Amino acid sequence: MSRDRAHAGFGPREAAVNWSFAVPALLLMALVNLLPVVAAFRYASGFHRLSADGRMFASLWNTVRFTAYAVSIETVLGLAIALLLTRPFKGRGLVRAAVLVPWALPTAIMAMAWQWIYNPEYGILGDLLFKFGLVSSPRVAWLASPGSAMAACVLADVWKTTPFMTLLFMSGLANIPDELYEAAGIDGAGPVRRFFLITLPLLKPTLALAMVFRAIQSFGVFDLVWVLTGGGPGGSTRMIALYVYDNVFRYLELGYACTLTLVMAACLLVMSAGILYFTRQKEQA
Amino acid sequence: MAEVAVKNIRKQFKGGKRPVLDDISFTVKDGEFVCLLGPSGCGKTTLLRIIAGLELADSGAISIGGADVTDTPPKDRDIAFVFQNYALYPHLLVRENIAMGLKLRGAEPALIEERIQEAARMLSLEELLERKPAALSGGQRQRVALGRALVRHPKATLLDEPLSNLDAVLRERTRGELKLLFKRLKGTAVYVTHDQIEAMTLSDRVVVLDKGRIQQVGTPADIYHHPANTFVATFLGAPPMNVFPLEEAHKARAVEDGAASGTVLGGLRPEDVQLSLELKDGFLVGKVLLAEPTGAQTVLSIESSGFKFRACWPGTFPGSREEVFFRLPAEKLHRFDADTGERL
Repeated sequence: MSRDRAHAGFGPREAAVNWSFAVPALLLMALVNLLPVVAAFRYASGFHRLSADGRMFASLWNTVRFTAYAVSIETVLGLAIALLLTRPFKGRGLVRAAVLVPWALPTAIMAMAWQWIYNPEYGILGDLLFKFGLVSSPRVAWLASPGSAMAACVLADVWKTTPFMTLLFMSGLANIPDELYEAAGIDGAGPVRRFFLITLPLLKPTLALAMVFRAIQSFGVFDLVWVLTGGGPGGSTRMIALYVYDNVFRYLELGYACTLTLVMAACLLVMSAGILYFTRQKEQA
Repeated sequence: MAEVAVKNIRKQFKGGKRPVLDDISFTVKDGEFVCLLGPSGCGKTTLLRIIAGLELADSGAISIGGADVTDTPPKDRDIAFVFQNYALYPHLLVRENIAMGLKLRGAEPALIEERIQEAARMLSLEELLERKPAALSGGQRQRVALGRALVRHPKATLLDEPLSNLDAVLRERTRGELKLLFKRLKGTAVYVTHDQIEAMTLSDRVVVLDKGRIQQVGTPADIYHHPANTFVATFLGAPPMNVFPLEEAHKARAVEDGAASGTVLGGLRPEDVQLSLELKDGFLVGKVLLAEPTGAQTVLSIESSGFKFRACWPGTFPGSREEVFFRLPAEKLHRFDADTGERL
C-alpha cells in the first residue's frame, strides 16, 4: 500500500519534488495577484470618506446596473444562440465561426466602431431605426443622454461578449447526453418541457460559471465605456473602474483609489458568492 | 399490452454503402418476449429505435396494437424504452424519475403514487426512492430504468441492451429477475442484445439479424437446433458449431455419410461430438491441439488427418492425454449450401 502510494507520487520525498514544480507558478501568482492586494491594503487610505462619497455610490450603482443588464441579456441571448447552433443544419461550421468574430475583436477597436454606429451625424443605428419608422429623426444623439448612453454601452457589450457565453453554453450542452432528451420524449415531454426538465437543470453549473465569470468581467468594465462615453454624459455611465482611474490619474489620490479597489473587490466577492450559492441551492433542491 | 408488427422496414443512413436494415418484417405477439439478436453493427438497435419512433425508417410500417404508428411521434406510441445507459434524469430523485412519464401525461397524483409504490415493490426500490441516480449502483440504476418503463403500463416495452453495463454476476442475476418480471406482467417486450445467452434464456422467440437482414426467426430451441444458415449456426452456441466442407471431413473419414459433394458444408455442435478415452467401435483417433477448461466442461480442439474441429468434454479433461477417440455422428449433422450458407 505505502509502496503504491509512493509510486503514485504521495510519499514525503515525492511531495517535495511535486511542490518544487508548483512553486514557480505559485510565486508568479503571488507576484501578480497577491502582491497588488497586499499593496492595496498597505496604501489604502480615506476609508472615512467612503460613506459620504456620492460619486462612488453613483458609479457603483451604474456598474451594478450595467452588469445586471449586460449579463442577463448575454445569458439569455447566448443560451438561445447556443441552442440554435447545437442543432444540425447546413453551413453550421461557418455560422459558428462567424458568431465568434465579435468576441475575437479588441474591445477598444470595437468600441470605436460602435461610436460610429451611434454617431448622430452619420451613425447607422439612427438611420436604420428612422427607416423602420421607430424614431422621428435619424439624428439621435445616443451617447448624449443619460438613459440611452447606458443602453448603448450595454448593447455594445452584449454584441461583443454574447459569443463568449454562446461558446461556454455550447460546450455545456454538448455534455448533456441525447438519450436524456429521447427518454423525455418517450415520457411525453415536448420541446419546451424538455428544455425545463433537462437542458436548464443540467446546464446550471455551466450557467453559474459563465455568469460569475461575466459578472466579474463586466463589473470591472473600463475600456469599452472609456472609449464610448468616457463615463458621461454627466457621469451617467461612469463605472467604478473609471472612477478609480479618475482618482489615480486625475485627482492623484492613490490611497483613496486603493480603497475603492478594495470596495470593488468586496462587491465582486459578495456577488460571486451570491450567484454560486443561488445556483447550488437550486441544484440541491 | 399489445402486438407489435414490423413490416418491410428499410433504412439506410446518409453516406452508408448498404442499408442498415433491409426489408425487415416480423410480428411480436401480445405478451410475447422477443429478442433481437445479432453482432455489433447488424442494425438491431436501429430497428428498436425505429419501433420506438426515435428513428424514422426510409420505407415500411410499424404498427402497435393494430394501429399504424409509422409516423407517430414516440410519446404517442404508448411504448416504454429502457436505454443501454439507463438515461435517468440525474438531477431528479428516483421517485421523480419513475413518476415523470405519468406526470407529463397529467395522471392524478394519487395514481402516480400508487404506481410508484407498485413499481418500487416489484423491483425492490422502496429504500431508494428518495435518492438521486448518482447515489445508486449500476444494478440499482438499471432497476430504476425498468421501473420508469413499467410504471406507465405501456403497450410494449423496448429494451436496448439493458444488462450490458452490469458485471457478469449481476447481469446473470438481473437476467433471471427480468424473466420472472415479464412473465408475471405478461408484457410485450422487444429486447436488443448481442449476448446469445441473454437471448436464449429470456425470449419466447428470437429474431437473429446480420448485416441488416433477418437471418432467422424462431424459438430459442428452434434456432439452436435448426439453424437456418451458417451464420445462425456459428453465432449461437459457445463454443460455436463446427462448420466444414463435408468433402474434407469425408477425406479424413471423420464422417460416415453417403452424399458428399464440394458444394455442401457440414455442421456439428461441439457437444454432439462423441468422445472417448478408449477406442470404441466406429471411433477414430484425434490429436488434442488445445484443451480449454471452462469448469463444467473442457473445450477440446482436435485434429485428425488434417481435419480440425472442436468438441466438448464433460468436466475436466485429463491434462496428460494428447490423444482422444471421437465419432462425428452423422445423424446430428447439419447440412448447408456451400455457396449460400442456407440450410439444406
